[in-house]
Amino acid sequence: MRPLRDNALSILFGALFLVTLVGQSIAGFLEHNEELQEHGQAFVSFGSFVTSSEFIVDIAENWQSEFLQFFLFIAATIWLVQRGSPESKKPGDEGAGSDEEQMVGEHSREDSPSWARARGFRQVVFSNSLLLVMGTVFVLSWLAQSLAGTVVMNSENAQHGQPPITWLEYLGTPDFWSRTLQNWQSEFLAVGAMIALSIYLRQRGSSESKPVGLPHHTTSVESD
Amino acid sequence: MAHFTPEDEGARIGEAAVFWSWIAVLAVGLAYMIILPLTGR
Repeated sequence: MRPLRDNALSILFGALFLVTLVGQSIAGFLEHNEELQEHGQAFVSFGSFVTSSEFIVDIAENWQSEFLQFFLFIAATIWLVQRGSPESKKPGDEGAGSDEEQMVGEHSREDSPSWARARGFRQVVFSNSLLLVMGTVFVLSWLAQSLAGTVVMNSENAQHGQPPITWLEYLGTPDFWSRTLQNWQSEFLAVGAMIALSIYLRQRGSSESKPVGLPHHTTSVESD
Repeated sequence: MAHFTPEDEGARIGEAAVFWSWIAVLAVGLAYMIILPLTGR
């Protein structure tokens, strides 16, 4: 089955995403009803739980941090390098590259995407399209986290007889920043570790690694 | 003009299907996570 083999990486991660999302929804549903039981409140249905802000805020806080991680990684690798890491360009190659290197405009190939052959606005947009989309998903999922977090906090405030807060007030709460920063720190740790550890460590056969026998000081195969 | 074999054409359709499926997952997920809290649920 060539279509499956050609797209196996995307299919695997898509399937893992769906399975773990279902798992999260079931575990979260059970935990939520346990808490309701402890407070002597009525159970909620599974449908009510997966359409509630309690469920959404937990998903959104993870989405935003993952997309921030890739957004920053893509942006930082334009201008910064790590000598010896296969995740980096080689020292001296910093920057957006010339039109000739990037095969855009008059340097495009016959089979280049049409927006790479175009000039002006379309070429600028296409040249930065990966960063633009990852950044947009980050901003929107962070917005979703803040909106769902506001609803959850106001629900808790109501239970404790406290007045509701606005979305802007929620942005200044420790709850919003605790949810945000606990995810950011782990993403930055993992990206930094991947960049640094891949200088001396290898995984035979992985595109995320240098070939096993390549010297440690070599940054990537293409730039050696 | 570049020329593609039927096999190449099939591979391109597969790539496009993967790309647009992921865009759809992101779009649906973001819309779900933004719209539902706005309804106060």
